[in-house]
Amino acid sequence: MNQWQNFAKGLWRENPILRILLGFCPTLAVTTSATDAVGMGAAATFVLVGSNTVISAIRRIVPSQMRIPIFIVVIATFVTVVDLVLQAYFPALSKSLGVFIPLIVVNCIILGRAEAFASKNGIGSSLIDGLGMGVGFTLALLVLGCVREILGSGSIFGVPLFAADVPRVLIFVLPPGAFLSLGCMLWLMNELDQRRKRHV
Amino acid sequence: MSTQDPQVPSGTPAAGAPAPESPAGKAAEPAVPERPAANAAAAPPSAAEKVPEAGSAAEGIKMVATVALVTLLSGALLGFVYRQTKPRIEAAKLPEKIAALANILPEFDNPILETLRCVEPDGAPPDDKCLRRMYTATRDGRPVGYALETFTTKGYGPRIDLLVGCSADFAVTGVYILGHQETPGLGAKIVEGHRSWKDAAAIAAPDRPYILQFAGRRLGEFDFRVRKDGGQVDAITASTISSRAVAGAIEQALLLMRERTTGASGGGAP
Repeated sequence: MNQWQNFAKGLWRENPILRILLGFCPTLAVTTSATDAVGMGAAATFVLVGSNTVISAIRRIVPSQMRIPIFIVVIATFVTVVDLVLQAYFPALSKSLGVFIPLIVVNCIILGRAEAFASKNGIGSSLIDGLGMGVGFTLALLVLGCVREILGSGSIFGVPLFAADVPRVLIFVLPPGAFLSLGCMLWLMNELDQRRKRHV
Repeated sequence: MSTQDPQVPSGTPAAGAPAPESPAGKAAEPAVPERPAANAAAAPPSAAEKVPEAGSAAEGIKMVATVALVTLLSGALLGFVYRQTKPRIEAAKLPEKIAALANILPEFDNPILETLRCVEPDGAPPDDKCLRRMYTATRDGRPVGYALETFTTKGYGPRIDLLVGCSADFAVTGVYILGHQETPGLGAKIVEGHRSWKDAAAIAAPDRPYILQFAGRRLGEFDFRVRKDGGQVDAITASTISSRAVAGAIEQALLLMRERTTGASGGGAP
């Protein structure tokens, strides 16, 4: 597998949300607006790239029984770095994402990639893998965030799209809306995939 | 073994009585060489176990050392990032507070940060342990307003920090949300419009954000409960808990500021 394929697998074929179905907590929680979705995606991507690289670098010295605690320490370190940097340089975004930044620690995608990929592959491949998965995660969040913000708040990236008297479908910014939108996205994803297979 | 097996259950109840014990012991005697044999058979695994045990001791040390190393490096990195970002984080908050004070108070001309005093516990130094702090705004030496740095734990998240400003006669002139962990997209809407207190058009607009409805409200004249509870506060849709918490915190702040400045406690409190 060349590095391009390694990167691209995170976008579609092994998309962490739409294919592997991991990391649903932030996916459902912070996609109420497109801005929050991108912020969360970028933060998670940074953590993924950082933790994948470091875990790949130390994979030979980590005793297998202790790998999970060590991976979590590495991941938590990167998450705290992101949290502090956001607070210092992007206070508005940091406020808007709130508790979901610290919660990246328990995002299954990150430990999943550490366990399934970075602990078995070289530093370069792991970095590319983390980047691909992060971008795939961000894209999925962005689509979901746009759909929910347009339908639920009538705006995109905070810019109003409709006149104030056009009714908003409030349920889309509420938790049930997250499940509905995500369900529809997964259905669409599977449908497209099956059609492609039928053509082949 | 098959002949001994029935003996063992028969011998075991007899073991309590001393007399049959010796024959039972004798009967067990021939089994003794068998036992060391069994022990011997068990010994090599235990000896073999000792080797990995020695190995696992080394492995244990390796585990501890690896975890120690990783946590040490992580700690060092975090310490470095913390020191690098701390002034920036504080600096990012200070102008926010100064701007907020200017926005939520009537126009003043004194260095307001110097008027900071702790009001709960009353008279304590206004450091990190102080729960609620008050600022006094003056113009030409006369007080024109007060601001209380307070918090509530009644929101949906663990804590909402807010800055409540009022005029010298305790009408709300502004409320600024300093920090909260309410749900993004829902309760987090309490922050909408909290920088618009000098914007009369925004305050008068029929679809004004939640927080701006408190402009000019006074204790006794306005019921700071949400409509669902029989009050006059329009709650944010689907975020009654956050709305109720903020409204209650504003009322409490007004009461506290009145009490600490005029000494009048209670009175017109609904």
